[in-house]
Amino acid sequence: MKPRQRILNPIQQLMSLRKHDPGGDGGVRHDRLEWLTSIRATPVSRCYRVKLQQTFGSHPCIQVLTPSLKDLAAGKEIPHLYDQEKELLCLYFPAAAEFDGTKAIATQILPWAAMWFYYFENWLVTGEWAGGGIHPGESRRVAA
Amino acid sequence: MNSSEILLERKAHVVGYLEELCSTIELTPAQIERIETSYKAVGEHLVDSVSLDGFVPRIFPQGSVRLGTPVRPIHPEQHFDVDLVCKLEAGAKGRDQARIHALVGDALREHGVYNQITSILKRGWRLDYAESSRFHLDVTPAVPNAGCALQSVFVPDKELKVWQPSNPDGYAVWFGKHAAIRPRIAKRMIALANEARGGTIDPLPSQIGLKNVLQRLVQLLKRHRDLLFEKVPDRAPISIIITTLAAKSYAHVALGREYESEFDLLRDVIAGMPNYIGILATSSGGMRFEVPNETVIGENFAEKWNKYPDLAVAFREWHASALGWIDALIAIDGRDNLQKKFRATFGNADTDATFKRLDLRLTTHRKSQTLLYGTPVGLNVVAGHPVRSNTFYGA
Repeated sequence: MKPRQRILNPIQQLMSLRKHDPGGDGGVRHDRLEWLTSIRATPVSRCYRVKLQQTFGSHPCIQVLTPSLKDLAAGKEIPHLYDQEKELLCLYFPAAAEFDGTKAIATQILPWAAMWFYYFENWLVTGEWAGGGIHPGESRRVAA
Repeated sequence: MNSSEILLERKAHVVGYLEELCSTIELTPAQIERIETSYKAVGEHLVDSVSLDGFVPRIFPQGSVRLGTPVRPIHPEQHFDVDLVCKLEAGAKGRDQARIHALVGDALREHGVYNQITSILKRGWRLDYAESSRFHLDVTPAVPNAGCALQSVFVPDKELKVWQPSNPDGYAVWFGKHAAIRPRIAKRMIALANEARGGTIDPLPSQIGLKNVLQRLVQLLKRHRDLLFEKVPDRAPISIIITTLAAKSYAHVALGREYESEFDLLRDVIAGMPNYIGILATSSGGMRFEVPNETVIGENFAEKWNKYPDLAVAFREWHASALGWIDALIAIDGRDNLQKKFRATFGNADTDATFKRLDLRLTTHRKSQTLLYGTPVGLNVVAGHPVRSNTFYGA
């Protein structure tokens, strides 16, 4: 039987981020982790500045600070955001158990953010989201 | 993230996109096979023909197919011209060029099917396979130039009415020697290319190097030229000039120094091309342009520039555009902007097909869990943390 993994606390997440994402910076205050970093999906992609936040026990939240996704999208509604105004990325489907508190944000979430930006820049040209995913209300997983 | 590190990665990545675009715009192996089958059949027919009995005709390709630099026309419905030589190895000595020109036409028309599709050209005959296969076979008769040390030939010319010197074999060999020059690129790039050749399936752009620097450059430049002069094709610099100048510049640049990246090499080759245009003062105080054919004494590829000076202007415009284009490529931020730049330079259909193919590769890696993420390169298949399976969600 697989040993039960422990939920990582904010300090542990912070140490992991410092190790795996040396270009970023952040800290923990009370139960809340905050991490600012840059993500460039490929060498020809833009560099996006993001703020990652997690309150212990909740799902992490990634907000895009710059550049403005809304400006890039020229007003079109952007797929797979939790919040169009705040530009919060939606990287996984909570019920599918793709991410939970036992997993390191640094090695799980940041790569997904890169994928999101890759498909976003693709969507800007083609108008299609090629990364798969589902929308609230859909019950079946769309093949990626 | 070190900015010069990122720039180097970006250059490697852009080169990968350029190589993939070249695969998209050249003839496919199936098309080349179809062309070869067709012209070999024509060759066999000519050997057996009555009109050419005793002349020992030999048919072989010249031009871009021979040089390894074919570029499909921009629009799918346009036809590709395959240039062939029909060399008469014997019996043509002292013959009138118009007669030889006509004889080859007669020989072609002995064949029931070819008869339907043969039409006359200034220097030969065109076989129009457009209906079935979207290409033309342009057959140029040629006779040996017995006195020439460079083994050149003579070809007929309906307008000039005299034999014209040419050397398709010689030129192909000359170009081939230039293309075979190995550039010296820093070890890191070689390592990446070897990694890709070592069996990485679905390589991502950073792992893709140019199949042959000179051939690929000529293909890119020709397609860039095609689009730039799409509305004014008569002004477009001719392919033989682009090819010759690129070859000369490449030889000089590649033998000159070691390069950090293939991209920088490409850039320098383009920048150096005008250096090989000879500009001579004429006795009347004017200017004469020369781009000599090294394989035919006295042939000047830029002869028309001396008759129509606007062609020299057009070349400079084209060159400035090509240089501006390559410099802009690495200043672009955003893969969407890169795609838009490629579209403007190479055409929408071929650009989109290329980018889509590369997207599919990345997605394949994602699905098979071989995609990694690291800084500063981002998503790749060489080093970093595995990108685990995820489902994008949200409204």
